[in-house]
Amino acid sequence: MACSKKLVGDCTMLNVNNLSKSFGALQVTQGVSFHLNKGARHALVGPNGAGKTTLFNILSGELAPDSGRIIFEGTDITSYNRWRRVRAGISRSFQGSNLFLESSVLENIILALLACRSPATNVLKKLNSEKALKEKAVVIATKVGLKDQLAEKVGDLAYGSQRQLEVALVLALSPKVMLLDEPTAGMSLVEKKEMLSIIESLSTNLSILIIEHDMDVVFHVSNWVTVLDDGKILFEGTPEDARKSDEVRSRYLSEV
Amino acid sequence: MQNFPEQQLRDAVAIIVICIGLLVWFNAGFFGHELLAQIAILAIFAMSLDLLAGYSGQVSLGHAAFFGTGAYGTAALTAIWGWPLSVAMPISIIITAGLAFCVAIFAVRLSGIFFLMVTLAIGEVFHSFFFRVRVFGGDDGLGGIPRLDLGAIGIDLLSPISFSMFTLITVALVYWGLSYISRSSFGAVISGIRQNESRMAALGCKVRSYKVWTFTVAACLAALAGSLSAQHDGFVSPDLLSWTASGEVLIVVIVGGMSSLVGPIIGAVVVVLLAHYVSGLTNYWMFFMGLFFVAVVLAGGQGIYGLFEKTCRRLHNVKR
Repeated sequence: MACSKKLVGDCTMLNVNNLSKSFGALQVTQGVSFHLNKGARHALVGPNGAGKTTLFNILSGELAPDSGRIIFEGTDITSYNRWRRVRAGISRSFQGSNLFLESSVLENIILALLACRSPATNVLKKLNSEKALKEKAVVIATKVGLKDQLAEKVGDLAYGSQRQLEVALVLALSPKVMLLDEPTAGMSLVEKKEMLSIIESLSTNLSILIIEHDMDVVFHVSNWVTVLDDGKILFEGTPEDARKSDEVRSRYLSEV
Repeated sequence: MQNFPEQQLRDAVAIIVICIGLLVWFNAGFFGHELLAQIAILAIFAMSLDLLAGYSGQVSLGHAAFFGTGAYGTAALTAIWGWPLSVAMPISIIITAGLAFCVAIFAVRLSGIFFLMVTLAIGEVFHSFFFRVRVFGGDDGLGGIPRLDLGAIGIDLLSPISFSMFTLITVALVYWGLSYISRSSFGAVISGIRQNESRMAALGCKVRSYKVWTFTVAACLAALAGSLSAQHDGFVSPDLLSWTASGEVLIVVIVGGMSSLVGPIIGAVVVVLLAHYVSGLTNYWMFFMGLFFVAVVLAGGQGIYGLFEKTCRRLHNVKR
């Protein structure tokens, strides 16, 4: 089904309506509205301090907005806490390394698969006997190119591989909407290429909102761009239009 | 590539320590049995704290409060109200579970140093309660506590010989139970919470629920140790709940080696024996104990078992 990019309709997964958030006198998010369709590859760009990560924190439930609503698949989830949003199908990655550094790659992915279960279910299962879980984890590791590093301790992993694991943890939650916070930040060119091919290989049923600084990456993976500046939406459109827009160029592109 | 058999090593060491306990039991005199029971009770208490602090990362300075409610519950139900111990013991553990659950609901909202402070404060509330309330003897404490009556199966727990065996078996059972929990998927999740709580929450985990359950289970086992201690001494006093008691058991866990379960058992053995023998040699024994603790912490901060495990890991890697 072809989804119109501009209109809110049947294939809208996430509809963000007039979100605002301020810390004291500082308005970090001011009346932000946009929507994410099924299968979208939507990039969120903007200079440092534009409020991109804050917006992610609001969408994932770490921060409560001062006003505005978040509708996910027709349900108002504004009041949902973090775990309810994950279980509804929204999961996020983090900018820095935010992993379980003492555990192995495989253990990290297994943890992501276990996290949603109740304490009572988990206490009755021996970790070593969860064969199905292990197989699932290996499949996910293969998807992000970490198949050969399963037993390695995450703290000893190269930075690029840690970023790949970051994506694996999000995938393990089988989300419908993925929020990726700068997945290629600080990567070498080779690592960046690998990350791009991982993102491209993801199912087209998955909607992805991706924060990205690297405009080449934005043009490569996304088909829709929202430019955030000073907590407000400055521009919305296709990557080509964004490149042509004088406003975007003067506020953002020129700075990079 | 052969992974280092961490869990097997722990189990093996735990079995060896318990077997040494049995050997000592066969050869001990009256005083040996008293020491054995004291070590066993401290080991159970320390293992319960290890689940809380070592596995789920909730370092508490109020854990003695639950040791105390277990002890006082047993004491009050038997010595004041005349219940049989076989009923009083489980009831005192259940009461502690209820109290711990209520405390946990509030306490787990905090972590790190704030959790430490709130548990310290709550522990002191429990302490002053038993210190003040006359029904429980106030600061005089409460005496005349019987021991569990196993006469039906021909065991007289009033004799120190059978009581020390009883505590030794309890240590083995508690170790087995806790090592089951640590190996379960539940254990994996609480270890994830210890390593990175906010990430665990972002993965959709009901972090607080896991922390509340861990806290409650740890408190129940502390209450079990407390109940055994009340039976062992035949006497309870508010000192059992003081924050220094919480601090001492934390030292036992750290000296023995955190998040290993077998570490706290070793810690209990070392601390009790050291206190016993050094205090026989000099009046300044507390000073030398302090030096010893500092030495253990400086030697890598992983405790006695941590150092042992590290050495084994090196040897294993060299061989490979």
